[in-house]
Amino acid sequence: MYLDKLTLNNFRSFAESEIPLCKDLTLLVGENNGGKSNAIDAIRLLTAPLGGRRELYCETTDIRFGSPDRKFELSATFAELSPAQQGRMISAATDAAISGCVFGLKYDETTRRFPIRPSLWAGHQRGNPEPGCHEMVRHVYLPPLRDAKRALASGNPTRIYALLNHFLEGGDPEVLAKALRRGAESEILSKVGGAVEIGLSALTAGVRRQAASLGFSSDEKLIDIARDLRFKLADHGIEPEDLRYSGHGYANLLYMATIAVELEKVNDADLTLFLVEEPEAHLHPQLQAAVLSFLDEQAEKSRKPRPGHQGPAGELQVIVATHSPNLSAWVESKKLVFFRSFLPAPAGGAPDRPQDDAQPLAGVPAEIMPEIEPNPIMPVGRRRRETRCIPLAALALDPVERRKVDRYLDVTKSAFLFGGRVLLVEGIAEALLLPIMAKKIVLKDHADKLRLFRSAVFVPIDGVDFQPYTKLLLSPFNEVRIADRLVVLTDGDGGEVAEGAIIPGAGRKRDLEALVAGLGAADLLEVVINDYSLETELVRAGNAALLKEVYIQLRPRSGDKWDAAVALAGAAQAVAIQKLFETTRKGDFAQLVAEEINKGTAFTVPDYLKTAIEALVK
Amino acid sequence: MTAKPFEPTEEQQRVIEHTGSAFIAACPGAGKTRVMVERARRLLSDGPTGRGIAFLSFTIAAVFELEDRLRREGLVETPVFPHFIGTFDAFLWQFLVAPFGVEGCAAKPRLIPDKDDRTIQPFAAAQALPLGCFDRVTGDAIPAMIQRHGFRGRINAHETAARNTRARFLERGELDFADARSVALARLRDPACGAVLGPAFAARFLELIVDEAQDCNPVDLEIITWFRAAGIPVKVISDPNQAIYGFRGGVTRELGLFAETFSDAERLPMNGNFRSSRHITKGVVALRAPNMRAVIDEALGEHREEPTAVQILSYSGKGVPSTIGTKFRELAAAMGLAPRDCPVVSATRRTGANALGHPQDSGVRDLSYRLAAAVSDFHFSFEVGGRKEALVAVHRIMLELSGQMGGKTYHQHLVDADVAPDAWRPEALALAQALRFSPERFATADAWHDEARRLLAPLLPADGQSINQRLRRNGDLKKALAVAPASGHPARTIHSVKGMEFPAICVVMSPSTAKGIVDFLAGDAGGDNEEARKIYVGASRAQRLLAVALPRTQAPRLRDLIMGIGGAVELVAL
Repeated sequence: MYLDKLTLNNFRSFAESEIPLCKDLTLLVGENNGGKSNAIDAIRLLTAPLGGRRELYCETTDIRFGSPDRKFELSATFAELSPAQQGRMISAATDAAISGCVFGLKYDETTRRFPIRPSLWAGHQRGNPEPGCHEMVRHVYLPPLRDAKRALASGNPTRIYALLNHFLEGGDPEVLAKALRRGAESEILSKVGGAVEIGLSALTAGVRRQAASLGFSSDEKLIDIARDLRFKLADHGIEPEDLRYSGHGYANLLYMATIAVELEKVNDADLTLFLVEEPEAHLHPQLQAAVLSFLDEQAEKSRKPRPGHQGPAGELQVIVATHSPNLSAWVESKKLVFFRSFLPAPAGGAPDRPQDDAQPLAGVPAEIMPEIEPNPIMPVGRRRRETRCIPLAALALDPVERRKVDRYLDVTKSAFLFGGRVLLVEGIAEALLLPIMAKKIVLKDHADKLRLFRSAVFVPIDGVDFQPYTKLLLSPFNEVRIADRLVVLTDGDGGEVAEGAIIPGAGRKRDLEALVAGLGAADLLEVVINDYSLETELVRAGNAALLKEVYIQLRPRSGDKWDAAVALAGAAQAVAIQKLFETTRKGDFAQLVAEEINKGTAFTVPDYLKTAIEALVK
Repeated sequence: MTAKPFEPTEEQQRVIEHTGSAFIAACPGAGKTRVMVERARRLLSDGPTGRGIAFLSFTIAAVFELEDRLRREGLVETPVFPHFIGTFDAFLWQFLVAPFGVEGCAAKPRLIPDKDDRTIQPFAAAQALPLGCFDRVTGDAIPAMIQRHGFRGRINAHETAARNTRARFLERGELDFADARSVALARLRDPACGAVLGPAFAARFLELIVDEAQDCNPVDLEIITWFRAAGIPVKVISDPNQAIYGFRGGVTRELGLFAETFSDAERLPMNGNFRSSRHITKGVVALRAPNMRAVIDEALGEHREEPTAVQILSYSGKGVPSTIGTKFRELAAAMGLAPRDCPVVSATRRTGANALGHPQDSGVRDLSYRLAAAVSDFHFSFEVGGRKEALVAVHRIMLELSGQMGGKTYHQHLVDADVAPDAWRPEALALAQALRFSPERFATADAWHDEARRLLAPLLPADGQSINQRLRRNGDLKKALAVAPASGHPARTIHSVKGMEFPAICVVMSPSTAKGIVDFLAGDAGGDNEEARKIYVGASRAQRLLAVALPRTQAPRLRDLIMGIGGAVELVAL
């Protein structure tokens, strides 16, 4: 059984949304304020916490900002129930075949019965769930470390200590305690604050080694988890022992220990949802992937069929909210759900009426008003931003394109999942030069545009296979697309083309434009091409002298070669210049050129680059 | 009931240890609850498995008692999930009706238990008849029912209106228990649904234990059979002699056939009576149908040596005289028993009340009288269930006065208006308290009546009848208010004491039923006699003293029957 689908209605940043989730692991990715945490909180409201202590309750401010409709509703649909789960979840069945089950939470202020009690409903008849069945699905919330204080306080420090001790392969508890104490002076740990101190005093007070290790050694499951965790870190080239000597290290270990302690409890429930928010906030980059692949593996392991077992299945599902490209690069694209803030078109094409006064809330008692105050009702006609999601699995990519996207979405490229304006370029040279050209020359006097330009994402794709990216970025889903604006900058590559034949760059431009027209996004795409290639065009724009200087820095004895190539004209010149860069790294060259521009050396930006820069901020 | 460790008899031990399905025939006082608790302990001895046991019974009182015992023994927690403890009907509703709805009906199913009370009045001048007078399938009038309501004339318009009403109920998803049972059964019979539900229930429940199975009707039995076929061990515990729910469709013959589907190894008796004295145990056997007396239960409990003989109180006259109560009180007092622990029971509360010389329910159903009766019931009920029922009656009167129910039945109103008990109970409770009748507070019944009018007048709708028109003077009010002092014997129906036990009990047969009962017991009349089973249920509640009151003409016959079994019996002429 797993959480298949989450629906959110008039909840925080969501108007009406449905978020599909994957069986083992789902990554919620997207810009800040995109609504990822709201989706995580929706799951926290809909399910019981594993530890039994609820930390989040429905509040009046959860109603969508400015909504005149004073209620919200959330629902969670679960799929693939085993017969035993069907038996336990029968009161929440989605249909006669019990192919799934559904729980909903309704918070309604229009009943005027204050204080509002959110009502939990179950099943397609929206009836009362059988008392107790709802608790068969639990969640563990792993907040960013700034809240680790709480996470720690709720755990048993002795157990966490024992776990750490084991996890670090024995060692002297005195030494460990000392290391922890030293760690406490680091910046990260000062944030953890008092909670850690509580933990530390418990650890160091007479070092209750006996009790601690006794309590642990009988705990087979916890030991197994610790062993798995250790192996997983080793897979990623991380030695837990090394971690404890760095400032972050101890916090990281604590975090993982917390995970392990929580994992140990999952067998009492049918399904445990691990909700991990911004793991990048406190985990070393290589640890992020290690920890998540550890959780992913545990999830997979938890689904191994246990023949004859009818009790709680102890299944695990991991949902991560992140804006770390490290993580989005690490999982397959179909496990990603992209979040973004979207401004819907005004209904019926009516113009905005921004100056309408906020309306008072009819029927809300005065003592409740202060809570609602920051959330006044906006006039109906006013457009409001809302969160929309694009499950990458839902985009119509064919298997070949899907494989390409998965292969291509490495750390540098998956960054485009976090910004609305995207510039795709062929190589690193363009990616290095364009920002400096924009800042120093093209957008020098346009602060606004420059700010937009800086927020854009530059993706060198190392080649010319722009199609899969373009499709991913501009395919529509529920009115939204990942990119707001896409500029593709590609070379004409016209050097060795027969007279009259179409140059390769123009062919690519034509194909991309046709593709995007098919996606209904022609106005969002600009494909900019030159005649030949970057270096040639820089020369042709009149920068030959500067470029030669730079070239000689890299190839002190090739000045003649440079002169000979530049002296040619047209296609011959292009071919010769390209030949120069067969042995010289374009990235190094571009880096030096960028430094010159930055120093204020006179430089002429080729028109096509100007066009690309301007197109990106249009 | 005592703190000493439970030592099961061999019979009990077999039941506790039996794996798989079984049909268990248990005599009264056989320690069924104890055995069910021990069975649960056995099933759950390996720690929590995430799987549950379903305990089904037919009376809420029995459900409460079992749940309470299981909780105290630490075998279930709150909520009881993954177990189920509840009535058979609640089980069907929760697992087979509520989650899936009704085929062909978009509305969410809602339980309206008193659907049959809905009045059918096709036109303004027509006599109003309850919906229950019309067959639930065909919609045709049921002759016996309309006769009981004194209906004369053409019934066609009523039948049409009744059919339309039932159709409307169904459109709105409003079901009563009988509807719910057939919806549930249809779901189980459906091959596609059954294929899913069978494994689901089998995985969820370790065992299904049906107590009081003698109250099963054929539909219930088919449902139990389905569960058994789905591979869920089913324990069916019954005392066929106690089947008194004929009105629910319970039928003893079907139960017998059902029992025969179990192999000999699966048929387990429990014939040790831990409740009654040996004389009462034998006397009770004599009250069974003639073909059910082969096995004589053994008295095993703490009262087995009680020497008091069964008392046959022989009365004369056409009515039930109050001398019964006087004599019974004497007998109980001689044994040092407090009257309030020793009820006088009969098939109807009225007969019992007569035997005690209590005011009878004169049948006048005006609101004043009903209010007085409800308030008295509230103050003289000695268990929670009775008080709750009395409060419901008070609330109903309040709703009727305020005109809020419109044409709906009471439960329909509660469901429609989404009224939870905690919303109305405080008010009803306050009214019942304010109207408690005692000489210090109210000099006369009229003074009480005036206070009732004063308190209830604000409920009336603005332009309707006045409070004096609604709460009329009623000469019988005095009687209704003068209900038994707290120290006296309570009068109760046999249905309300089912599953309970008392140190002494007096069972009263009315002149109209006594002959039929004794004829049946003597083997002079064939067929089936539910009235006789009611007497059996009542009599088997007794621990130390059993008195049976019946007309002079029948009393010696009953005495002889009991003597025939071998119990000590005394005939007392009143």
